Amino acid sequence: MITENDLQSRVEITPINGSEIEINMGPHHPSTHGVIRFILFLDGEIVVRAVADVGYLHRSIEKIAENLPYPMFMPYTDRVDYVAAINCNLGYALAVESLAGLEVPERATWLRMIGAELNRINSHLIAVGALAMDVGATTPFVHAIREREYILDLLEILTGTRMNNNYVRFGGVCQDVPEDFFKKTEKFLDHFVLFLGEFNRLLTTNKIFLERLINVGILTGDQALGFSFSGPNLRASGVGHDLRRIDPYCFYSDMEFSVPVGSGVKGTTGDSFDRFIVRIDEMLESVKILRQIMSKIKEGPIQSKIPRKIVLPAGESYHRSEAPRGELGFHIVSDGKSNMPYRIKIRTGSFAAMTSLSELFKGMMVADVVAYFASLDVVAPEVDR
Amino acid sequence: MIIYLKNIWETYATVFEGMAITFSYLLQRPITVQYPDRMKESVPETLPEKYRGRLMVDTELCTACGLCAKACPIDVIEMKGGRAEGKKGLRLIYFNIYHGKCMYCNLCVEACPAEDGEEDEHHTAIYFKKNFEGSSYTLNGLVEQFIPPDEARRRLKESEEIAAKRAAAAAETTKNSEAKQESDKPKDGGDV
Repeated sequence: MITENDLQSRVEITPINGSEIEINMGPHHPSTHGVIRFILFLDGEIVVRAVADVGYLHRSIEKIAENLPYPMFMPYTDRVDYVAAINCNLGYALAVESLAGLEVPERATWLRMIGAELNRINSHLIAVGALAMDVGATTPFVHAIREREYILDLLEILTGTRMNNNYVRFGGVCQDVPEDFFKKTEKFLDHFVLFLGEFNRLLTTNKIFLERLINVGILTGDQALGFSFSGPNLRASGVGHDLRRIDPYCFYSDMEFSVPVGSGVKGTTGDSFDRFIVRIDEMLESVKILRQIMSKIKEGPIQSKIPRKIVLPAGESYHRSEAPRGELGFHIVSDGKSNMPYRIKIRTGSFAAMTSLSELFKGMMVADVVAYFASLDVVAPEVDR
Repeated sequence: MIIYLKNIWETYATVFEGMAITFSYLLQRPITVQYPDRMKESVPETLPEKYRGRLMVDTELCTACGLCAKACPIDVIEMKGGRAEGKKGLRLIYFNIYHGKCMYCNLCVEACPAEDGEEDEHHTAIYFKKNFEGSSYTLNGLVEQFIPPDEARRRLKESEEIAAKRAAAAAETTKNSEAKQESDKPKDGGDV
């Protein structure tokens, strides 16, 4: 039986005398979830070198921001990460509000949190479902997509659209919800907890699935920090770093939830299975948060008075929030004169995840490349923006 | 050896557990629906109240203020307002919506100041219909002209005539006032 160490040593021993094969994985590959390309240099079935090629989905969102007034840039933040649009809306709105000093009514903040947490569950469902499909299990993906469909129905009531919601506005949210939304959400949450039990029986305990993930793509905590990982990928490596806990925004400081941390339940801390199980646990935590929000939300205004023309004071600020794929930061520079930003830089979790690839792919089997990459939950538009 | 057999046993046990879950779905009612011909009720009826479907404009209600066109980040709305005979304020000359570009962001609807006071189906002048089936065979089919081109041409002509009349009237009044001022002023041969 070949162990991990054997593979590593084999790579070092094998002389590379021009016999390595160069293959392109992507840009259109089913496991890259979007348009990402890897150039893999193979020795047999083992990757010797790898280059990650990004930029195929670049839409110059940051440049567009420089030519649009602040409120009109909001729909573009949906497109930064279309799987978790409200989280991106929220990050941008918080960044501008903190600079402009705008007030947000209480109910609007609760509604924002509902949207963000529903989006988080939605996004993690896609992550675990797509991971299952990439390693060969098709049925769990369909189950995950079915559950996501229920969430999209809820988001439709909340925001009016299923995806790319453009829900958050400066100083509030764009519309209130009818009272039966909360009943429907609670019904869904009860159903969802049962579903996760079934999903675990179907997938998480499956021996073949486990064998594909355990001890594949091990990232220690130091390594993960070195690659500037954040979010679930960092927590899977054993670092309990959650911005909702250490740098709370909205009302997350009042919420009771635990931060799931990878502990190597089946193999080593920081392997692909840890990244998978952390996301499953995080969905349960989001359910807990949603239940608390639902018990605390009260009637009230959803939009505060904001100036018609928003001009930020000259200077720059960075605001970060916890998106499903890690830290989402908006760095806004304003010249203090116009109603458009001088520069906006968006920091996303997926881009940080991409930096680890060429290092981690060395010595991996081609099949493990797919498993490791899928476990990082990279969404292509978030890499390129 | 024991580990080997245990692995095989675990694999079979967990695979069959998954199979059992999959099999149980065979006995449940399917969750898929046959769209569109075998739905019990039409889809727009099942949609929530504020669903963002196709963008529409109520041309009677619209005051041609142009705030929606200004609020749109991608110039979906192309519109012009002008004066009309026997109507205070502006009237639409043309109002085109490029449905192919629209990203259903709701910014134009929030900017719209014109609202109808009706209790049921209350909406602003520009609003989202619940209809979402907007496919077209041609690119031009995605451009909706809410004022027909002939009518738009007529309205443009009318507004231009009124504008010309008003300009003439304004010129008349300024001339009169200037002449008055000139007559008030002592003549110094200045050319006005």
